[in-house]
This record gives sequence, structure tokens and C-alpha cells, in this order.
Amino acid sequence: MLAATEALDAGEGAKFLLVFSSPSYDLQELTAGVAAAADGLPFVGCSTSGEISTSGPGDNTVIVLCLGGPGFEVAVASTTDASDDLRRAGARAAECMERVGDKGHRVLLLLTDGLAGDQQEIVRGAYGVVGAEVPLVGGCAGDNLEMKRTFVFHGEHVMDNAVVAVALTSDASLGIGVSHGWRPVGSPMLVSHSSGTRVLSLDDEPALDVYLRVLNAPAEAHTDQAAFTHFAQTHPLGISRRSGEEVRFVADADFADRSLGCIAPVPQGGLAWIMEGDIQSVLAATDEACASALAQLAGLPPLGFVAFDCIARRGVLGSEGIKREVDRISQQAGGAPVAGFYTYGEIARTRGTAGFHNQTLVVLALG
Amino acid sequence: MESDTSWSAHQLTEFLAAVSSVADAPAALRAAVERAAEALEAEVGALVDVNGVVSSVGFARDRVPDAELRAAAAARDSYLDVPGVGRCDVLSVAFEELDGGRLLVARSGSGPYGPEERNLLRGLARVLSLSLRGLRVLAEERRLRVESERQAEQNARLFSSLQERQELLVQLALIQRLISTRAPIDEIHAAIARGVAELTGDQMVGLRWLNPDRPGWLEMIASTGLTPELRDATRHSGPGAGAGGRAAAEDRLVVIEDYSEASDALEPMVADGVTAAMAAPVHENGRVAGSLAVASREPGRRYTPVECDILTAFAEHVSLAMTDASTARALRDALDSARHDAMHDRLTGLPNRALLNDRLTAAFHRAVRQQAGLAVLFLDLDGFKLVNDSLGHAFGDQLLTAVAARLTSCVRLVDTTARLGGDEFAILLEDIKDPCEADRVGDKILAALREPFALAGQQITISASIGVAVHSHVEEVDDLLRYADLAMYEAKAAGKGRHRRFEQVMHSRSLARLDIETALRRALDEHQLVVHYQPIVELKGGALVGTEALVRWQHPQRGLVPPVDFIGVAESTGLIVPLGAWVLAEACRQTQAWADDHPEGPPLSVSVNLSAGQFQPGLVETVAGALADSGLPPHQLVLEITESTVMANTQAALHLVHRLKELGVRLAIDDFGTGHSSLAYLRRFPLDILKIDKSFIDGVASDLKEAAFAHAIIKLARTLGLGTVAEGIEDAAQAVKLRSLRCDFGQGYYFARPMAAEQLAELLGRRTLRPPQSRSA
Repeated sequence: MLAATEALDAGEGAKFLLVFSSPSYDLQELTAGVAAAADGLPFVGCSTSGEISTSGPGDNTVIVLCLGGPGFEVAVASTTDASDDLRRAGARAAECMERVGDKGHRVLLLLTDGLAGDQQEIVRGAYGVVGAEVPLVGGCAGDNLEMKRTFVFHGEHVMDNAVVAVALTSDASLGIGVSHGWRPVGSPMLVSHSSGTRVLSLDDEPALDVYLRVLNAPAEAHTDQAAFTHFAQTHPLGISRRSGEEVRFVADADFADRSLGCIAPVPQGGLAWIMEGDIQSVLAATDEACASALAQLAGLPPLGFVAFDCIARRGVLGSEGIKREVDRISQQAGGAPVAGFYTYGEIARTRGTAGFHNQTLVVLALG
Repeated sequence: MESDTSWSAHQLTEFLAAVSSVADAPAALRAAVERAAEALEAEVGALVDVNGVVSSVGFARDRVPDAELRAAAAARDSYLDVPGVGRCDVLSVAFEELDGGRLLVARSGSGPYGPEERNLLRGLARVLSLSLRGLRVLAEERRLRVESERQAEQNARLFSSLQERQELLVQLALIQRLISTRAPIDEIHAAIARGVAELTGDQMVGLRWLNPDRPGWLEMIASTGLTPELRDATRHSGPGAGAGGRAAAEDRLVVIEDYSEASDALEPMVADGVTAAMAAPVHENGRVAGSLAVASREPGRRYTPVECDILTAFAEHVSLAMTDASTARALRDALDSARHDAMHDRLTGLPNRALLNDRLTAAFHRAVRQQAGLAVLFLDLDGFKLVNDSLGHAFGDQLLTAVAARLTSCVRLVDTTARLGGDEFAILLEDIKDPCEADRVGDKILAALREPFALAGQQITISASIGVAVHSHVEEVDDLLRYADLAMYEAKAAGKGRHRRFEQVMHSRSLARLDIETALRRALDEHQLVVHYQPIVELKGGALVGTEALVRWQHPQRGLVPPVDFIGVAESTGLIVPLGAWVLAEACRQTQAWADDHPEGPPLSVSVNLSAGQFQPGLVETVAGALADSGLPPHQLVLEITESTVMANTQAALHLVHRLKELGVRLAIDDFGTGHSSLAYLRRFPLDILKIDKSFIDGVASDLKEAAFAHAIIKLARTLGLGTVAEGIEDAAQAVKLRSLRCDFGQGYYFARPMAAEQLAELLGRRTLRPPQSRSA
């Protein structure tokens, strides 16, 4: 397996591999190949909706990042059947943190099946185990926007409906940056009826009707699921939080009951806005996330960046825009390798307890 | 962002929704701690009691610092060193559900907590205790369910407290919406007062605010259920006076039961008959700003812990709402539309039920006080459902709007015309000198509706049935609308398109109807219904050719109940559908059974009546099922429909009739000549048989004019290729005359009365009933 071999050749004292692969490959075969090349090293990864590497954004590629060095230690765990009890799945995976020491800096990296249900529950479960002491970072696997089945890998095990966690500890700093770049449009609306991730009505009107009307959505989005998802990618919902609004990716529409499906829960009784973004605001957020991650490295140059970038941002930026975005990330990395993928939801908990995001860029800077 | 100030109020609603959705107390505690931390964007959340940490988040699970958390919870303005985060500011509030309980959050780097955040956390603690009690109630209820009936009453109470929790959510969401839509502060206050009244079931609610110019004095800023006199008398209240005054003075929940005995009771409240009161303090920016009080006139009223918590939770919510509403004061432009929307029907723009009730209550008290007259008209459109079904909802909506405009034009400006929902309207007439004035308004409305409506290129007429109640009929205001409704029902039953004034006897009649309905349901279940069969004979030779199936009710006490006493009730309650289906199935089964027993003779047909209420989707399947189950050949089944059934809704009825015909059954038109007798529909409907009503038969042998009528009908039928059946033939002369007029078939007492199936079976051997060749003198 070329990518894995190259990654291993480049890294001395390799301890661990991170693999982001397009679902267009036979993932079983792919992980078997990585396992052969890795020669016993642990590795985890997931399927994507587009990959990010130092050379730019890509589709139908495989990215392998090799992490290692003397001051570095990892432990890996995974749980399956996550949707039976998401909180428990997050907690069980997070237990791997208890198997590594503390070299001064720690982070728990989570890769999840974003189609398994409320991802904040997974984050709550993980937070319940590791507490505020350990930042959480990661993303939800993708399937090229088909929204059918996404996979995470724990070594050669390719699993859907699963959570895989990596406990990282290092004697060098680890920085996490988070930013989105969306702004609310129009006046706030009351979420008059919602159930988990489904929004049934806004201001007592069917949610889908309000959404299509306020955004003046194109005709095909009124009837066609694929057209709707494409349109909704760049028009998330924002829900009110103490420090501003939190973004919710709108994934699908039910044309029969006129409801909206989101990737994370939208609480009933809360306020919601429809949000919009443009290339400038999204790129500004890229700079902000990278800068904030770098700032936590205490002035040291980064050894690598791992980027979890929402598929919806890709929708706003377009194919030219994502090249510019990845260029900017690479510039900020200052020549250090960049690996990442386009996600169905991002995880970053550095402050507070909430750690699941939508439509956001999360950058992990390895010092 | 403008709405930043309301984030905490809706966090409370979200929190309540989250902790209410879990199944048991430990999960609720865990969810509460997590959600409290999330709401305040804190790294740590914990609930502690005298024994230690009950639940916490933010620490690695094996390193929860029990002692530090307890110390931090107990101290004021404390902080906590959280591993990996550093120094975190602690905010903690009492959680009274646990012994020495405190709910705390700790967060880094956001500066000290603001008053709104303190209020929010306190609100969360209150809401959590409410939810916990609810969960205990639920657990209790599960346990009691096993113990069954002995505890039925208790169960009902417990169940209702669970419902209260749900109601609380609904009410909080309503207030949340008013705040988020920047409703004027008066409206928010009013919604709060109404919400509390609904939740506690207490008649009187008052929201009082401390007067900044007069320390300790409270001003009533919103109330509900207080008479105008009482409102005047309690507009200002002194420091510590009454439950509301004490709650504000002592910053705690105050409950006063046996109100008249209380030393600090408000005198006007005692005079008004208040038996108990309860009040909770309301805060603004962390300081007591007023109180929210409820009072009851119910003798022996006691407040349950759940009710105490509901009021407290509500007051907490009000506190949060005020923080926002005070900034919203400048944004009053939403005032008119918001107020209007809340109290008006969207479609017609008329006042809605809520506004009508408000005005009715006010007018009722005014009428009692000033001994003036007051009347309510309850109006229901006749056959509106058919219009809606056949011409579409959009058309129906247009019609309702047009009706609303006509109604408004029939009354004075001071009167209130309201839409209660669907096709129901109510009109409140104030200051009337004489109940006859209300009747006159009823006449005027009926006349106004008689003019056709021109809508969407169609002319349509619709009548209405109106019930009238005047205030001298009732003691309680709530009864006015109810009595008017009863009178409306009677107007409908008397033939629609008219008005009726309420009379006490309507009460007993309505009870009797209910009685019949209940008994009829049982009759259906317990097989008290039987089908009798009246022979139909060929007039030419007297041969028995078929029967008409007629349902009878063999009541265990009352004996045989005639259809006229129960079919109307069956129609109005929808019971006609199962009843009709049963008759159909039974008649088909019996007729086929006779055919099987007597294969020698030609098989009998059976006629079954279909009433208007049966004309709905599913009828065709019912008929097909009856035929299939019995094996009766379809052409032996005759379905009798009446003119009124098909006239009422020609389009929809025509469609169903055609589908019935496709089954192969025959169709007869019943009671021909009594209604409109439109030739048009005789042509349009695929009929086979025309039944001539008894009223045309009675004089056929004695009166030339009558005979000419009958003859004309028979000729008409023959021209159209329809068979004829004369109904109600009572003597030989009629039978002979009809035969001479070439009427094909007849039925009536002259041949045979309706009889039980066993009796009819005896006739089958004979097959001929009184051939009318010879006239007995």
C-alpha cells in the first residue's frame, strides 16, 4: 500500500497511522493493505466525502498520516452498534484514555458514524469518562454526500454504526482551533415542534415550508431530495446559545410531513435562525481556526495539522474555493504535513461541555 | 444580536424538555447536570447533597473531587481547580429535593456570572425538582397500577400531575414565543397570568410588581379571574400584605390555606370568598421585583407539592422573561398584530373562542351587576361538511369568510361575532332589552344567509341552525355557550335553517339522547338489534317477490323500539355506519338462506335502506363484503336511497352510486314524491326502481286527483324504464287501483306487516299473498 508505505518511510519512530479514504475504494481491501504496510502499528480511520492533504483537496484518494516520536503515546478503542446507546458508545470508546499515561498534553480523537444519531450524545458519553481535563477532537465519517452508509476503521475492522477513539498523549503541545463563518438571516423563529434531530414546525408552521420560503429556495429543492440536500448544504440552521448561535446542518426534507432533518438535535422551545455564508466568511473562518490552533503550541512550529472540515463548507466554497482553503491551511502549517477530510459533523471540545459542531472547521495542530 | 437577552429563558424550556424526556431519576439527575453545564457553557456541572456528589460531569470518572465539590457548593463566590482547565468560577444554588442539595456549575475564563445566569441556574434547579417529583409520581403510578382499582382515585390524581408537567411545558413555550416575537409586555404579563390559572386550575391569578416610588408596595400589573371590583380593591397592596406581599417581602414561596383565618390576608379577597392563596417571588436582575400569586374560592383548597413547584418554576420563568421583556419595551410595534393574532381567528379575522370567552365573562358580570340583558347565539352551518368535501377546502374557506362578513353585517358594532372553529360561530349580544331581540337577530341572520353566495364562479346557498341562550337561563357564565349549543342542536333536529331559544326541557332531551346513544352502542355489541322483513308482492298475481329489510331494536326493558326513536340518534352519532353495515349483512345472509332452503321457487330480492350517514367512503366495500359473505347474487339486493340523501350532495353521492351499481346491485329511490322530486336526478342516477310514497297511495282509490298523481308518477317511471313499488297499501281497493294504473309491485299492511324472519319463512311455501282479483266488500 503505497500511501501507507510512504507515510511510514517519512516518519521515524512511527507509533500510529491515521487513514482517511474515499468510500470509492474497497475499504476491506484498503485496510488489509494498510495493515500489511503498517506491520503491527495501530491505525484508525474513516470513509470521507473528500480528502484533504498538503497537496490540496482531493476526491477518490487515500490520505495516511503517520504519527510518532519518543514523546508520543497512543491507545485505540472502538465500539459498534452505537445507535443502540450513543452515550454509552462514546463512553466505552473513550475508556482508552485510561490506558495511556499523561505526557503533559492529551487529546481524545473521535471518528464516528455521523448517520448513527445524535452525535452530542457520543460527546457527552466521552466527556463523562475523560472530563474537562482532556480536549475532544474529531469528525463524522462521510460517503461522498450519499448519506447512506459511512464507515470507521479500527485496524482492519471496517465498521458502520460505530465509534473509534484514539487517546493521544504527547510531551509537546497540542492545539485545537474551531471556527465556522456563518451568519444568521432574518428574524429568529421559535422551534414550535421538534423531536430529536427532526424539526417539524417553526413558528407553528411546517418547518420545511418556512425554510423554503425564507430562503426563496429554487423550485427543484421543493420536490427533489437530492436537490434539497444540495441546497441545504449551504443553508444551515442556527440555534441560540449563550455565546452566540450554534450551527445545525440540514440534511434532508420530508416532503410528506413537511419536516426538516438535521445532523444534530434542534431542541423544541428554542430559538432558531436560518444561516448563510459566503466564500469570504468561510475562508476567514479557516484562518481563524488555524491561527487559534497554532496559538496553543506556545510559539513552536507545528509538526502537522489534522483538519476536520464540514462538507457544507465545501459546498459554499466550490472546487476553486476549497483549493484556496487547503492552500491557506498548508501555509499556516508552514510546510508541516496536513491531513484531513470533509465530514458530516465535527467534534471539538476545548471549553464548556458541548463539543459537537456542524458546518465548522476543526483543526488539530500537533506540536 | 437582539435576541441575546432571551437565551436563558429558552434554555430553561430546553432543559425542562430534556430532563422531562428521561425515564428514571438517576438519568434525570445526570441529564440535568449535563444540560446545566451546557446551558451555562461550563466545564463542570454537579449535584451534591449531604452525603456527597450525586452526579457530576467535567472530571475523569475515577477522579471526581468529592470534598472539593461539596466545599465549592457550600461557599459563596467560590472557585474550583479543574485539572487540565485551571481555576473555574463556581455558581451554585440550592436544590431542595435533596437533603442539603446544591446544583453547581464551574467554568473557566468567562468572567463572573451575571444575574441572568444566576436566575437561570436557580430556574433549572426548580425545574429539575419538578421533574423529579414527576418521575417519582410515574414510578409510583407504575407500582400502583399493579394494585389496581383500590387506588384508582389516587392514580387519577397522579396522572393529572403528570399532565400538569406537560401543560407547564406548553405554557412556558407559549410565553417563550411571546418573548421571542417581541410581544408587548402587557401581553406577556397576561399570558403569564392565564398560564398559571390554567396550570393550577385556580380562578384568580395576580402578577404584582414592586412600586419603585413606594418601597414595599406592590402594584397589580396583570391579573385574571378577578372581578373588576376586586381588581380595583387590590390594585395597590402594602408591604407584606397577602400571599403576594409576603412572597415579595420574604423572597420565598408562601402558601396560605384557610385564607380567611390568616392574619395577613387581604380584606377584599376574604370578602370575595377566597379560601386559599399561594405566591412565589419574581426576580429582575437577581433582586426581588414582585410576586406571582394564585387564589382559589374552592372550599378546603390545599396546594400539592407539585402545584407549589409549578408556581415556583413559572415564577422563575417570569423572572427570566422580564430580563428580556424590559429591553423589549422599546419594540412595541409588534403590539397590535401580536395581540390581534392571539385573540382572532386567522381565516375570517373574527374574534376567536378565547376572546369571545373573555368578552362573555366581562359582559356576563356587567349584565348581572346592571341587570341588563345578554344573549348568545350559537350558529352552525347546515351541510357545510358536504360543501367542503365536494367543492374543496379552499372553497369552504371562502364560504366561511363570506358567511363571517354577513354575520357581522347583521349585528351592532358593540356585539361580538366570533368563530369558534370549523363552521361554528357565536354571537354575543349585549344590553338587550328583551330576549325577543335575540330572536330577531336570529331571523335577520337566517334571512341574510338565504341570499346565494357567489364564490369562485359558483352560486351557492347555505343555511344555518341557530341556538339562542339568554343570561337569565344560566347561573354560570360557562353555561351560556353550552346552552346555546344545545338549542342549536334542537334547531338542527327540527329541520335545520331555523333558530331555537334554549328551554330547560332541552337539557332532559339531550340527556335522553345520550341515554339512547349509550344504550344503542350496547345494543350493537349485545345483538339486541333484529331485522324484520316486510313482503313485497307483484300486484298482478300477488306473488311474493321480495322483502324490505327493516331494523328493529329488541330492548331488554323497553321491548321493541321503533326505528324512528333511534335512527336519528344513530345518524347524528355516526353509529349508523356499523348499524347499517350489520343490517345489510344480516339481510343478505337471511335472503340467501331462504333461497337455499327453497331452491324450488324463484329467489326473493331484499331491499335495504341506506341512510345519508352511510354515504361515505367504505360503503361500497361494505356492500361488496355483505354480498360476498352471504353468497347472495348482487341483482337480488336492492339498495333504497332517499331523495334527501342524493339531493344533499349530488356530486359525491353520484360517484358512490355509480360504484355501487358496478357491483351489480339494483337501486331504488325511496319516498319518491315527498321531496323535491327533481326529474334531473331521476335521469342522472342509475336507478332501477321507484318507490311511491304512502302519502300518494292513501287516497288513490278514493280521490281522483290523488289517483292522477300516482298515475303520473307511474307513467314517469315507465317512461324512464323504472320498476314501481307502491308503499303503504292498506286495503284491497288501493291494490286494485294501483294494479289498474300498471304499478308493478306493492307492499303494505294489506299484504303483510313487517315480520320476523321465522314468520316470513312460513310464507315461503305459499308464495302468494292476497291476489287482489277479488274485492271484499
